[in-house]
Parts: sequence; C-alpha cells; structure tokens
Amino acid sequence: MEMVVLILKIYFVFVVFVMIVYTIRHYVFVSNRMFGEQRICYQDIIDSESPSVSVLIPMHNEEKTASQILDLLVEADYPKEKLEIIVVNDNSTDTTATIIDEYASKYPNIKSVHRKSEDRGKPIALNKGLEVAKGEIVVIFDADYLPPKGIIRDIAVSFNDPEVGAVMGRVIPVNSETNLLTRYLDLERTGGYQVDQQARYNLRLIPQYGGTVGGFRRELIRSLGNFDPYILTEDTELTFRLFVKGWKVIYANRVECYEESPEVWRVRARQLRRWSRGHTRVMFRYLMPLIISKHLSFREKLDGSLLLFVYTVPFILLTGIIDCVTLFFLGKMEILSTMIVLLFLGLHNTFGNFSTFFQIGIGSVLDGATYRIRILPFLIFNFFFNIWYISCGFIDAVIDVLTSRKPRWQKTKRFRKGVYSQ
Amino acid sequence: MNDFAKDILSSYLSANDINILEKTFVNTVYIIDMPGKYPSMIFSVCLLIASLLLIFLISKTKLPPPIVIWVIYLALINLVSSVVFILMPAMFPYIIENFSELYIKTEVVIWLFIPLLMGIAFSSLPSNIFTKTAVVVLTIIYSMVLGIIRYVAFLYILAKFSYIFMAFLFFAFGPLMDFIYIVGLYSLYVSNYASKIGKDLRIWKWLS
Repeated sequence: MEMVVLILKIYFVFVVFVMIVYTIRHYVFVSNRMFGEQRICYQDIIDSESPSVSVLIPMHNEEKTASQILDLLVEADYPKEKLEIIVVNDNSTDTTATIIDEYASKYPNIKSVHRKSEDRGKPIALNKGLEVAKGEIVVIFDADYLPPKGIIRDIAVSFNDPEVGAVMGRVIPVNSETNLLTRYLDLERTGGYQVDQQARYNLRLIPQYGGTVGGFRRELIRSLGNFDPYILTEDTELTFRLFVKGWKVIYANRVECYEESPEVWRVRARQLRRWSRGHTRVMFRYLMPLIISKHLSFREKLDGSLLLFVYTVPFILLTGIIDCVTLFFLGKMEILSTMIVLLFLGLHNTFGNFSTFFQIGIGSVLDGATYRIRILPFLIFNFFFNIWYISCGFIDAVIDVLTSRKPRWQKTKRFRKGVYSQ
Repeated sequence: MNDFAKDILSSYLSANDINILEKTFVNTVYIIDMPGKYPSMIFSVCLLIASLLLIFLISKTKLPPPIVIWVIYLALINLVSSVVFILMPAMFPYIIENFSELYIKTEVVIWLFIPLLMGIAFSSLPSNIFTKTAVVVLTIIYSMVLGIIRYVAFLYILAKFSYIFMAFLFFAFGPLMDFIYIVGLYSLYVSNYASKIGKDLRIWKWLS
C-alpha cells in the first residue's frame, strides 16, 4: 500500500509540475506580447509581381454558407488572371453542388470539383483540390469564413520570403454575441491568436498553421506527399511537417478573417474531441522527428514539444484530479494542503480555456475589448467541459494508434441563418 | 477568525464541545476542533442511490454539457464517499480536527499565493502600481472573509450532516472556488482598465 501511495504522490507532483511549466510558457507569451519587440508580417510590402493563387474551399453540405463566401471571394482585391477559386464539393447531399455549379458557370475563375465517395473529409478534399490547382500559392478557407477583400494579397505577399512554407492569419468569431458559448469561444480565440500565436511568431518559435485563413506553397506540399487523409488535424500535421523539414510558418495577426463559431455545446464537444484526436496523433508521429530535426533550434524544439503535448495536458489533469481524490480518501492530506493549491492554480491558469486567464485578459485589452473580459471567471464551466472532451479525444487517438484504426471525418455543424454584413 | 467561527457555531452547537487548537504551518495556525458525526448506514445508502440517480438523470437531460459534467463530477465525489462509508466506515481517515487543519492550511497557502498569482497576472499590465496593489489587498481581504464564512458552513455541515460530505465540500467548494473570485476581481480590474485606456491610443501606438 505504501508503494501505491508513493506512486500517487509522485504522479500528483508530476501533474503540478506540468501545470507550472505551462503557466510559465503562457507567462512568457504574455510578457513578450506586452513588452517585447513585435514582429510585423509582410502585408506592408508593395510588390508589383503577385504570385498566382488558388483558393481552395472544401465543402460538405454547406448550402447555408456557400453563397456568401463565394460572393466575397469574387469581390477579392487580387488580379483576376492570377486567381482561381476551387470549390471541392465533398460528397454533399444537400444543394451545395447546385450552388457551386451556378457560381462556376457564372464566373470563369471559379471551378467546381465534385467528389462522390463515402470516404470523405477535409484532407481528402484538399488533395482533390490540389490535383487541379495551378496557382503557385494555395490559400485555404473553410466554407463558413467571411474573407475580406484584401486578404488574399496579404497572405500571398508573405511568400516573397523564400523560407516561408505556410502563412496563418487571425480567426475572429462573427457570431460572438449569440450566446455564452460563442462569447467563451471569442475569448479563447483572443487569447490564442492575439497573444499566443503572435508571441510565438515574435519569439521565432512555432506559430501554428490553422488550416484556414492561411496558405502554403503548392509545389512544396505536393513534393511532401499532400495531406494524410487519416489525420483529423491536417493543419497541425502540416505545421510540424514544414518545421521539421526546415521551412517556416509565419503568423500574420493583421490578416483577419471572420468565422462562425459553434453555437451549441454538443457541436463544440465534437469539434474539441476531433481536434484532440487529430492533434494527439500528430504528436505521436512528429515528436521524435521534431526532437532530432537538424533544422530547428533548441527553443523551437522546446516550444514545438509543448505545443504537441497541449492536448495531452487535459488528460494528465483529469487523472491528476482522480489521483488527488484517491489521496484524500487514503488520508494522505499532508501533500494536499499545499500542492492542491498549486494544482488548482495550474488548472485555472493553464486550462481555463487553453490559455491562462491573464493571457485572455491581455489579449482582450490589446483588442480594445472591455465588457467581455468580465465573463472570465465563468470559464470554470468551460474548463471541466474542455478537460472531459479533450481527454476523450486523447483516448481515441491512443486507441487509433494501438489498433491502426482509421478515424472518420466529422463535419462541424453550421448555424448560419442569413447573410452576415461586412 | 477561529474565535469568530466559534461564536457562530456556538449558536447551533454546544460551546463546550468547540475547541481551538494550535498547529504549526508556516508559522502557528489555529484551527477548530469539535465532535463530528459519522453517517448511518441508511443515510450512506440513500446518498449512494441519490448520487447514482442524479448521474443517470442529469446525463439524460438536455442541459448544457458543462453543467452536466460539473454535476456528474460533484455526484461522483459523493458516490465515492458513500461507498467508503458503506464498505469501510472505520477506514475513513479524518475527523473534524484533520479537516480543519487541511482547510486552514489550504487557505493560508491561498492567501500567500494571491499576491504571487495576481502579481504575475498584473505584471504585464502597464497600469498604476498602487491600484494594482489595492486590488491584490482587496482580493486577500475578500478571500479571508469568504474563507471564514465557508469554514463555518463546512464545520456546521460536518457536525450536523456527517463526514460523508467532507470530500464533496473540499473538492467542490474548496480551493477551486477560491480561484473563481481571484479571476473575477482580476477581470473586473482589467475590464475597467481597458475601458480607460481605450480612448488613449498613445499607449498602444505600436499597434496602430
């Protein structure tokens, strides 16, 4: 029994240690964002030679959103002869196919590609789009996004830097005022993009390509074998694939694009679980290549490793809470009185919502937000929710790896009720 | 703090049974000891059934998942506690003295941590240091007042309704709750600060 208690205590100390490490990581990001030198992206470059761009939009049952994104892209401020828009209809059963065919017949630079296969998903649709894409640069948007006029130029100009393999812009929820969940997600995005991504870009760490509102070099991705159809987070996979091979991913904070956040908790739960499952599989695949890569500095490797483990931490926390309750019933409270405070400190700091509460606070200040900061303490409910569904996704990924199971893509439900004004 | 708690508890329980003990932690801390109550077998079984029922029913409702998960978390703690008291009540390792010690030590650690935690959180805000210090002091005072109120309530529940709720009280309304008001006061301050500087773009000129 003593051995069991010792193991439980060691695990408890380990959990607290993990929490402290992630709290320090976020503190470094916040400090950098407030007091460090800020790296701007390349949007201010004026270049007469624009590269050719293929915009890829994978769509599965997107009849609620298809028209608006296509209308916005048609108005894009980019030379028409250098811009093609490829809409991949990925086995839709609603009127998506009809809508995109209408646009394709009306506008010469819009192409519709239809996939009829049960084996569907975003990576597969992107691979299909890449087969027909001709642009030097590929820019990706999910169907629920509302790209502003100048965004394609802002993304494409960054590729003048020959070291850049991919570019990521900033995602902002358009429906943040809908309910409490969308307000939470707005805060999460603020902490994640305004502080986290920008600080990682400033510090030359590992900014993450997010799979939408971003772009990459077409030939580069083709030479790397396109997207793995069985990875649910093809964006994270691409990020690490590029960094390991010596390419850079850059973050452009001012390249903003609105998206529609999930408005229902169950939809959010599925989304989180999918992200966790995909991200964890990427961790299993890229942790070792990241560590031994000759192209990365120690700082990049450290940040990359912490980023890879980010969806493992909630599982560690969940088991940490179980460990803590067990120690309580075993009468081992002497370790609890001080360490439990550290545990809950870590819980609140690190996984209130993927970022520390002060990171979200600072992000909101930088955004000029005021009242929305006041819902920060209510993130406690989100925190248990996140821990549970991310842990489920983590376990899914472990089972996937152990049994060679192939995951199926789950589409995020849309809530569009009309046309969002710009 | 203990005198205050003792005074209040004396209104409901026999004053002769309530003692203030001295313990060593950081410096000397004082805790309350008083007779607690073990649950009857019937009460433990009822709590077990109620917890199981709650878990079953709440998972069938259409309440938002965060609330469902939160309630299940609380019900599971009560479930484990009731199992312990049904199967091995003598093995339950605490009496009120132990719980008091755990609670007070935890609170002392929180009071020591508030300046550190809020210091870290505020250090990245370029606002007036005096107002930041005032918020930290206010948070500690708030924490102490709430800490005493909770302490009295916890001891009353343990004395009147038995030790079976000890784990529930500690894990649901213990240190986890402390961080809610810490974050709450931080968010109020930051929100007001953001409103104030919103009109002064000079502070953020590197952003414009």
